[in-house]
Amino acid sequence: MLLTAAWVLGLIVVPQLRMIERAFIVDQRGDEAALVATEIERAYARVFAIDQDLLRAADGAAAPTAPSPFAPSPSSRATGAASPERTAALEAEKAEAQARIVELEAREAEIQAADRTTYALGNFTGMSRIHAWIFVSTLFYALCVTVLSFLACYPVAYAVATARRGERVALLMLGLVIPYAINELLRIFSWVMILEKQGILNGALDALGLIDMAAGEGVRFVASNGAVFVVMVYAYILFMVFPIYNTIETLDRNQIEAARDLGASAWRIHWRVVLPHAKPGIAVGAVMTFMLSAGSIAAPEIVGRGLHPDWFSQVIYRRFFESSNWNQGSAYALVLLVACVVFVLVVMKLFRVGIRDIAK
Amino acid sequence: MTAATPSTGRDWSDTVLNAYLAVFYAYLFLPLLLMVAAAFNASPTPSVTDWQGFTLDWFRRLPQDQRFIQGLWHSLIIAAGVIVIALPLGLAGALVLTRLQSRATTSLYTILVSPILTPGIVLGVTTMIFWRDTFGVEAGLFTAAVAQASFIASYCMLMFMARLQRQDRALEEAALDLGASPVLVFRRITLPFLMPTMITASFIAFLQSIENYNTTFFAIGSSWTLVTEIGSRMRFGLSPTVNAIGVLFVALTVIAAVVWVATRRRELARRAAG
Amino acid sequence: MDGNDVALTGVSMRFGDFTAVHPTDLTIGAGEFFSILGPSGCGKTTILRMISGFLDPSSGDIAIGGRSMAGIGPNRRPTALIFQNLALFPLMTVWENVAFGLEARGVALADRKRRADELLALVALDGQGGKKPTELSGGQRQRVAVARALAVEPAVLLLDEPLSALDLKLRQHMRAELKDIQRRTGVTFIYITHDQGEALTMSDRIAVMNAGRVEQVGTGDEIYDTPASPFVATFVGEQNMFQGRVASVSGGTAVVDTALGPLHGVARGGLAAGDQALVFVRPERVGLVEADDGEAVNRVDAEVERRDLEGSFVNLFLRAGDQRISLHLTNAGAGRDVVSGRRRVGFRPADAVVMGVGEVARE
Repeated sequence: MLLTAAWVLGLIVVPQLRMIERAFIVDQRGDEAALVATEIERAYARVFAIDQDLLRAADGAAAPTAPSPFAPSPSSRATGAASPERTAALEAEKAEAQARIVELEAREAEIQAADRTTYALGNFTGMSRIHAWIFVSTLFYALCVTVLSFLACYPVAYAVATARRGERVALLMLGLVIPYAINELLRIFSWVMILEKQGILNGALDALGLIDMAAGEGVRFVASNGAVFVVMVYAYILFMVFPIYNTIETLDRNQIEAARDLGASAWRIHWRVVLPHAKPGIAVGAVMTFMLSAGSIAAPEIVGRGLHPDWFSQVIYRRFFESSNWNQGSAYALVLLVACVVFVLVVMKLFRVGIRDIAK
Repeated sequence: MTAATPSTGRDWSDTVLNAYLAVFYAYLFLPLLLMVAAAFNASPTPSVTDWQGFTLDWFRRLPQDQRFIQGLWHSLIIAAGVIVIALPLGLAGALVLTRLQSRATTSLYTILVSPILTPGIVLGVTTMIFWRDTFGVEAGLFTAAVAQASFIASYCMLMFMARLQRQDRALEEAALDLGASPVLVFRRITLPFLMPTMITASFIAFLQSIENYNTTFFAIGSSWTLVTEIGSRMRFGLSPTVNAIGVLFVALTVIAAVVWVATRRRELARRAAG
Repeated sequence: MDGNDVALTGVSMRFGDFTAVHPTDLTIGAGEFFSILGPSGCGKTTILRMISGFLDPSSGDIAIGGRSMAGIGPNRRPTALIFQNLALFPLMTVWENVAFGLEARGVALADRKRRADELLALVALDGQGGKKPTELSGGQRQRVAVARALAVEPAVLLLDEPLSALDLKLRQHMRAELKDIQRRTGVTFIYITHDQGEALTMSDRIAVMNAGRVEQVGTGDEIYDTPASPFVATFVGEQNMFQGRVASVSGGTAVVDTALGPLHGVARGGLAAGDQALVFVRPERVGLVEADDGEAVNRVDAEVERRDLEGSFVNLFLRAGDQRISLHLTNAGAGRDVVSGRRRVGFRPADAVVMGVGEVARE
């Protein structure tokens, strides 16, 4: 039994340590490595784009391709019927790109073999101003998501927890469980549809006569931090409802009545009786919401389309997969982890709850 | 108590609360309804304002899409792997924590639940680095499963702990007293007691695994699952095929949720009656 | 506190098809210790919740001090409720609990503290104000609840079986204490209980309820000695019960023909010859008599079945045919050495009550 428990530790602690170690390794590879890595990434993207084209060419006649403004490059837009020549040309192009990848990867390995590493703080101190700013604003937005979710959720959790009739409780619960269980990506996606340039919100504005979509007018809601923020509130709000609901449900209803009987106003009942009781639940909700939004990659990636907004998670992703700078990526991931740990500790201190209350 | 007259003075605040509830639930459901509606729109960009006629085309295309089918397959493989890894780990952790009487349990507990409180991408990153640097295993389905298991195991552990705390230790002691070996006690007493939790834990682990995006996105490297594939499609532009998948997800979720609430209510009713 | 009487006129409560309280009139005088006694589900808690304002009556009116309480919420009524589980706020200290009502009324911190200390002294909890309720014993928590309710200076204190969670010894002690607090403060107490001992020892008057109706209102002695219905007769205290048919009624005395012969008792309610009737007599009013004591009225011969020694009392259980008869005898008298055999028992007609048939309380 102890043996398996030790293994549990191995799965969690050792990888963390490895990452931390990575974070402190300063890479001496210089710019060339980064350059080669970017090239490789580009070549892969190209192969992917060609694959997509081939796919479309295959069923091109059956269904006209969506004229998407986000297609990787104009040349890859395979409109009209597929011709064998076109397919052949694409295949050739793909082969060429793949050959280039092999070549580049060999070069990369060479560089890596020659690289010298030292332990230092370079990965942290080397964080650029832009990245630092992104980091701070990510945390700020995450904090806002947390606070807003709490304000929105508390009345709901209270209403569901104190609902008297069985059918009402079941219905309200169902209404919370369904959106909660639906995949995060889909929740994000449904909002992107609304916020799109050709989306529903602009459509509504158009219908109201505020803008003219036919003339190309329209507010580009997506690809802004505000949009990411709105979407995140929607995506993570329910992580706040359930913990609060669970704690309020355990509150003895006589407590509320006793306070009322003693002359307390509704506001005072909440402030002095219900809220203090719900504190552990609020702490859990806050930790979950904050952690999810600070570390979210789905929302900024999908809402942003890589166009504008930078979330810290995206920066980390790029360190790893675009700049191939794993060490700095590790350093950034560590910074994010530390931020979350600090948040957990602050919440625990603020709400005076222990770790056992939090993880339930 | 049915139809109890609420006392005077509550009506006003009840009205406000009900109105707020209505707004909140509308906020929750409207976007999803829009998404569902758009899946049946013939317009090539998902929309409900620009209605070009009802169609099932987007659904018909799904089974032909090799990357989706392949992704679904990958998702199932990973989920199976996660269950295999996370369940024993969670059980072991729960047993150690509930049986061990030591001051170290609080720190151990903290470490064991920490993956739940860690951002998913960090888990993905650490797993990826660890397996590549230490064993030379490149990111792929295996690392994705391991990365997911690292936090799903914690959820399993919490579920097992909740169950174990309700167990009567006297049962095990009685069995030991009757001469059973600890192994036999575990097999005949403890495991059967934990069986219901095993099933729910596997189910939860399966769902968590299928649904996961953040961790998988980092740990899976150049491979893909259904969900990461949906994610990358969304990044390249909206397509009604994604809506179609969304409708399937929503339908499955609604069915599962209704069943869940119904069983929970029956359970509550039974408990109230008994 | 003069004039703060509680008056219920035609008050009823329906939950859907179920009538919890039938139209009821009840007047509780200012400064009275008034108990509502009844089995669980009889509607007594519903009445309490209507007086406190948590439920609106389906019909009728509740007035306190002559002022109608219709449309006034529980937080604005001159009542304070002590809950069955006390409902102390676990996250507040004892003094914060006591001062909560004052806090809600916007009393300044220093005054709140001083007042809380005074009240804690009143309930003999000086110096315990800084503790959390969970650190106190059951009896102490009880007193905190009383102090918390008294802090808002209510005209009426409503108590919903507050002693039911305590063990017997403590319960008996708290009875005396509650009665004492009531006498000292002069506040009207309305006390809900299913425990007749509590009701009899503490109350000035008692209302006995069954199935949503008040069956009798009176002092403890009235309830015990002259019950108004078979239910009251059997719910409060123990009874020997004989069934039969009324042979005659004259001058307030009824004669009932039973399987054991004619029995004489005080007639209650309108009885006429030929009616089905019940004769009740308390076990302690039945005595052992000599076979030739010269009296012919209310004499029964029965077989001794069991003898239980209770210390100062001896309980004798006898049987005459299908009829069981029980006797409570003081341990100084004739019952001391009776263990078995056939004995004659008897009681005075003035100690027996004759009533028409009706619902009786189940054991």
